[in-house]
Amino acid sequence: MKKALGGCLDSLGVKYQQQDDVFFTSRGAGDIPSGTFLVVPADSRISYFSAFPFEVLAERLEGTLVAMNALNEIVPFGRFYFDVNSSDNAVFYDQYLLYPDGNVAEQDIKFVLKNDADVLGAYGALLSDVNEGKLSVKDFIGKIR
Amino acid sequence: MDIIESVESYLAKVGTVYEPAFEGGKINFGANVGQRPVRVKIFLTGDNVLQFRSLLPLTLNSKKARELFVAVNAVNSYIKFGKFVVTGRGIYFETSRYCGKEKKLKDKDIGIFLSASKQTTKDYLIPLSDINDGKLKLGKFMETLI
Repeated sequence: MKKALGGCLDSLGVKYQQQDDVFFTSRGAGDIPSGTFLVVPADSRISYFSAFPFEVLAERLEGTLVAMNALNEIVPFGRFYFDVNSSDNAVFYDQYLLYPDGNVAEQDIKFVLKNDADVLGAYGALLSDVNEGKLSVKDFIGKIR
Repeated sequence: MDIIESVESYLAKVGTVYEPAFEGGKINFGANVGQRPVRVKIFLTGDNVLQFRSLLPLTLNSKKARELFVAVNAVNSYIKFGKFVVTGRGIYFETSRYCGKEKKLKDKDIGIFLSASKQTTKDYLIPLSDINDGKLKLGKFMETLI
């Protein structure tokens, strides 16, 4: 599966670095640079995570959570969350693909990459603004709907 | 057989009573989770994504809003796939499965998708509604996740 995923990324022209099961890519999405990575765990799943380059500020926690919930309501694929298990208060946009048979389809990887760029391009900077207190949650919701 | 027909065929096989989709649209059915009525919708989006959505209707309690959003985020961070979302109508769980340009899934894949969706709904939807109702403390709930 790892070999197949590497082949897909190569043919799609995506630059990456592989470290064990993790394929790291770095790509900007709109105004906000995002650290992105694909993971190939043992359960026939490919997860595509985009880590946001900001940490959730304690004083903005509630607003950022409400904003992420609003995004989860409108994005048809993937989910936003603040990782409660990470020490750096990281925010992720996470998509996954399942391959029970171990096959990896290039069209699926293309779909996930495009979706990631579309979603982060449209909403990433706005979410960052909410976290930094530059945009109210009410205005955020008005802009995304 | 298109993907919605395949899902209907699977549901019929496992004995789920559902409202047949009209012209390849949405499949609807009701279910009881912890004696609470949940509405389930299954449909295909324009991006060839099969979606399962289970809604627990409830009135949001503004005094518990912060706890509810923290709990929902914690669950979203913890579960392997899908997401819980708070709306004005209640809380829903949604899972997505990309079906590719062919818009086809094997029966086995449909089964894995639906049974995992059902299980996650059962595991978390009621505790989240209990937090909203003030019947479950956030701290206690978080302990169950760790």
